[in-house]
Amino acid sequence: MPTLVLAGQANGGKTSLFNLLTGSHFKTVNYPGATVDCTLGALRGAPCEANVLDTPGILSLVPRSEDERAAVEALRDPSLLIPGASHPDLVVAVVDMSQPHRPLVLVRQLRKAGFPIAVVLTMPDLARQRGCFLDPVRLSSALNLPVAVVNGRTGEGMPELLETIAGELSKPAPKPPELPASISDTEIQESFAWAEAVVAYARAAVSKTSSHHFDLDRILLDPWLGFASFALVMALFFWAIFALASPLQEGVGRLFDMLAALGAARLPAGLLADLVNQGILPGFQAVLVFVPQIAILFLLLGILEDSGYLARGTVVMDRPLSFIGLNGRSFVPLLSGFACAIPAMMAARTIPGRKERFLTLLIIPLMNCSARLPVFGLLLSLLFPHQAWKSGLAMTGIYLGSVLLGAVASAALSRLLPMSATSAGFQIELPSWRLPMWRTVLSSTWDRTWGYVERAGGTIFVISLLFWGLSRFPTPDHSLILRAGHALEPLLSPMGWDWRIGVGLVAAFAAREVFVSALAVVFAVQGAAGGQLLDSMRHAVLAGTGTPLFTTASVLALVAWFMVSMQCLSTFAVFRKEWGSWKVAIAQLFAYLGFAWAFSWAVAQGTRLLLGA
Amino acid sequence: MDRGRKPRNLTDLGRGEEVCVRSLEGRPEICARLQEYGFTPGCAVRLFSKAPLGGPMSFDLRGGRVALRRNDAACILI
Repeated sequence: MPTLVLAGQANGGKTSLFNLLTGSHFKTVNYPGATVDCTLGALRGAPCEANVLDTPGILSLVPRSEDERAAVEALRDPSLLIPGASHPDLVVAVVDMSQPHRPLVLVRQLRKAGFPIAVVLTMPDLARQRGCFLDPVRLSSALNLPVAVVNGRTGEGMPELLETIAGELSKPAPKPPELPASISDTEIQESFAWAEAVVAYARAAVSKTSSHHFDLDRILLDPWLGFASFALVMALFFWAIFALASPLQEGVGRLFDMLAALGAARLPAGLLADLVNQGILPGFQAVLVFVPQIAILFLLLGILEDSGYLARGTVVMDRPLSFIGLNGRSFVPLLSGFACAIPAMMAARTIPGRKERFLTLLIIPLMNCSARLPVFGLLLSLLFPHQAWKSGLAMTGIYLGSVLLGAVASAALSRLLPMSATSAGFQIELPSWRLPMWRTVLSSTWDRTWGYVERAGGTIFVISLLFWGLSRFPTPDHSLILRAGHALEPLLSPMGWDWRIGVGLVAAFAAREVFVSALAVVFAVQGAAGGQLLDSMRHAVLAGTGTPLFTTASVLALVAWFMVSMQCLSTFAVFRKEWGSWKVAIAQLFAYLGFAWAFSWAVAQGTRLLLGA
Repeated sequence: MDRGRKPRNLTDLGRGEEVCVRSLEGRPEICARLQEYGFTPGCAVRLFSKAPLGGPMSFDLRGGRVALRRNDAACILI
C-alpha cells in the first residue's frame, strides 16, 4: 500500500487535514508543537488505498528538537511506523495561505531532496479575510507541482485533493529521496527570496473581507495587561474545574446511592452481596465521582489549546520560567501535567534545549495531576467536614504548593546538575486567534475523559476485587492484607499512619486514585455494612492506643505524600522512554519516593508541634 | 562600518517601529533557526510588543507573528 506523509509547519493545519483524509478526529490544536508524535491512519473516500502519516511540525529538514527529529525521520524512513514503507510515495506539503513564505521554503527543500510532492493550501478563510488569498492555478504553474485548496474546518476542497492524490500515486514510483545534512544560510536566504517571488506571482487580486478586527494580542501580549490577563485566565481555569463540577459530582454520588440501595434490595445476602456492596461499588464510587472534574479540566485545556491562547501563555511565562532554569516552551507541558503527566512528558519534546527539557521532565510529576483529585478530595473532606469553602481554599493551596515545589526543585536542580546549559533560546510562532472548533474540542474531551475512566476503571475493578478478597479472607480480623500491612508499619508510624493506609499507599502504585478505592474497600469490609467511607474513616482508631487514625497531622502528612511521591508506574515508563535511560528513570522514582517520605514526616512532626499534640 | 558605533539590533526597536533586517550575528545554529523563522536580510519586521522584565519580544513579519527571547532578537542586526 502506498504511503502518504503530511509535512509542514507547526500549526499549519496538518492535523485537521489528517482528520479529513482519514475520517478520524484526533485533537487538532492551535499551539505550535501540538502534534509531537507521528500518527498513522488509512486514507478514506479516495479511489485508491493508502496509509497516511501525520507528522510534527517542522521549519526545515534540519531538525532542532525531538518532535522535529521524529518528523524528519518519518520522511527519511517511514518503515519504523509502517513496515515495508522505505520512503514516502507522496509528501502532502501543507502551506498556510495566510503566511506562506516559511512553508514554501520547506516545499523547496522537500523538492530539492527529491520527494514527490502535492501542495495543499490551508486556511483559505483567514487568507480571504486578510486579502492574501493565493491562486492555486498560478501557484501550481509557478511551482510545477499539483496544488489544492482545502478548508480544514469545513472540508471544502477535499474531493479535488483526493483526486489529485490518486493521480499522483498512480505515477511511477520515484527515486528514493536524499535529505540534506545541513542547510547553509545562503540557501535559506535564497529560498526566502524565491518564496517571495512565487507568492507575489500567485497572490490573487482579492480585497480583504474584514479590514479591521480587534487584535486580542494587544491585551494578551501587552507588557502589563499580558501578565494580569494570564493570571486571570489561570485563576478562572482552576476555579471552573471545581465550581462547575460540584453539581455534577453530587449527581454521580446520588447515582451510586441508588445502585447501592438496588444492590442491597435485590441481591441475596451472602458473599456476592458483600462483594458488590463492600468491594465493587465503594471502589468505583470513590473514583468516578471525580469524572466531572476531570472532564471539565480536559475541556478547558482543549479550549485554551484550540483558541491559540497557549502560545501567548508561553510568551508571558518565558521570563519567569527562565529564572528557574526552564523555558517558555516548558509552560504547556507543565500545564498539561495538571491533567496527566503522560501527555505532558510527551509535550516536552517541543523544548529544544536539552537541559531545559530534562528539568521540565523532572518536575512534571510534581504537578497536581487529575488522578490526585480523588485523593485530595477525600483527605480534605476529612479535615474540613461540611465546609466546602475551606476545602476549596485548601485545594488551591495544594495547587499553588505543587507549582512552588516544582519551581524550587527546578531552580535547585538547574544549579546542581552537571549538564552544559547551552540554551537554544526561545522562539515561537504565535498562531492566529481562532474560535475553537467545538466538534474536535468536545470529542477530544470525551476521548481523554473516557481514557481516564477506562484506564482507572480496569485497575480499580481488579484492585477492588483483590483487596476485597485479601481483606476478607481468611477472616476480616486476621486477613492476609492485615498481615502484609503490619509489615509496613515501622515506615508508617512516624506519620501516625497504620496498616490500612499502608496498603492503600501500596495499591496507589497501580494508579494514585486507587488509594481511595482501596481504603473504601478496606473500611467497608472492616466497618458496619452500608457505612459511608467518610464516617468509618472518622471513627477509625489506631489499634492498641485507641487514638484516632485520621488526625490533622496524619491527614496533612498524607497530603504531603501525595504531592511529592511519584506513584505512577506509567509516568515512570514514559519518562524512561522520553529520556531513554533506565538509570535516570529509576533515580527519579526513588528520589521522589524518598523525598515524599521525608516531606510527609516533616509535615506530620511540624503539625504536631504547632498544634501541641 | 557604522563609524565605530555599535550596530543597532531588534532589541533597540520601539513599539510599532518597522525596520529592515540587515544581517545576523551570533551562534550559527541560532542564526540559522532565526532565518528559518523568516528573519532573513532584507525582510521587513515590526515590533508588536515587549514582555516586561526583559521577557520575549513579539514581531510581525511575513504575515505572521513570532516571539523571540531578547538574546535571540539581539542577534538580528538592523
